[in-house]
Amino acid sequence: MMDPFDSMLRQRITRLLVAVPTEPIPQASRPRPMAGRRMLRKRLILAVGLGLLILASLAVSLPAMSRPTYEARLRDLGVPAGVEIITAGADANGNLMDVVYRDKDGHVHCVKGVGGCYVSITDPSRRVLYDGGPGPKATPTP
Amino acid sequence: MESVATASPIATSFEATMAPNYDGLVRRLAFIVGDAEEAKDLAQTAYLKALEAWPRFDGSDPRGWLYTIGINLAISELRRRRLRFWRRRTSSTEPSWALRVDPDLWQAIDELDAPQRAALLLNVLDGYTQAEIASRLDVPSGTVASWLSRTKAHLRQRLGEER
Repeated sequence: MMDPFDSMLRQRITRLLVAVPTEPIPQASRPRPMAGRRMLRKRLILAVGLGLLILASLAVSLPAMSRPTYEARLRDLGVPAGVEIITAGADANGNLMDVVYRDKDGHVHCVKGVGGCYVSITDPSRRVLYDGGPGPKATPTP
Repeated sequence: MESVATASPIATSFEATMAPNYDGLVRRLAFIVGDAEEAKDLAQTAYLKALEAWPRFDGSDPRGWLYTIGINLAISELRRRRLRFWRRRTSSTEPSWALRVDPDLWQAIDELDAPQRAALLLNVLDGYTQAEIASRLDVPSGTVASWLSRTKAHLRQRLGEER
C-alpha cells in the first residue's frame, strides 16, 4: 500500500512528465550548436577584453617604471639628499635645469645652469636668496 | 525514436526491445536536468552506450537498465557542469512544459540535486526499493535512504501536507 503523499507525488510527477516534449528534433534545427557558438563568442569577447585591459595597464605603467623618479633625477644633477628645493626649472624636453636648493647649513646653491645658473631667487620680502644673473654673483643669503 | 542501426541482428533486437522506452527515458532525463532538449541529447548518448553494451546485457529489466544508463549520464553531466563556476544553474532555460503543468511542483523539484531527483523518480514513479536504487546509482543504501527522506520532507514542506 503506497503512502498517500507518495501516491499524490506519483500522480503529479506523471502529469509533469507527460508534458515533456519528446519528439526528436531535426539535426539542422537543433539549438545546442547555437548555444555553443554563443558561449564561444562570450569567451572570445572576454579574452579580447582582458587582453586590452592588460595592454592598457602596461601602456600606463611601463613608461612610469622606466622613467627615473624626481628624487633620482635630482641626485643625478648632484643635488644632495635631504636638502630643501627652492625652485627647479625644466627645458623643453622636460629635463631638470637651474635647480636651486638650500643645504642643511642654510646656504643656497644652484646646479645645472645652461652656461651658468641664470636664476635669481628672492623670498617673499624681496630679499635675494640666490642671484644667478650675469655679472658678479650676490652672496647667497641664508 | 529514430532507427539506431540498420541490418545487424544485434541492432535489430536492440531496437525492438529499446525503442519503446525512448519517450520514458527522455521524460525522466528532462525531470533530472530540467531541459527537454538536453534530455534528448542525453537519451541519444544513453542509447549509444546501451547498444555498445547490448551483447553483454543479461536481458533482465531492459527498461530499468536503459533508464539507469541515462540517469547516471545525466548525473555525471550535471556534476561535471557544476565544477565550472560560471555555470551554476542546472538548466539554461526555464522548462515551460513543467511550469505550464505544475509550477509549484517544479519549483520544489528545481531546488533538489540531480541524485535526489533521480532517487525520487526511481522510487515514487518506477517503484524501485532503496536497495535497488542504491545498486543502480552505485551508492550505499543508507545514502539513498537519506536522499529519499530529505527529498520527501522538502516536498512535503514546499507542497503542503496534501495527505
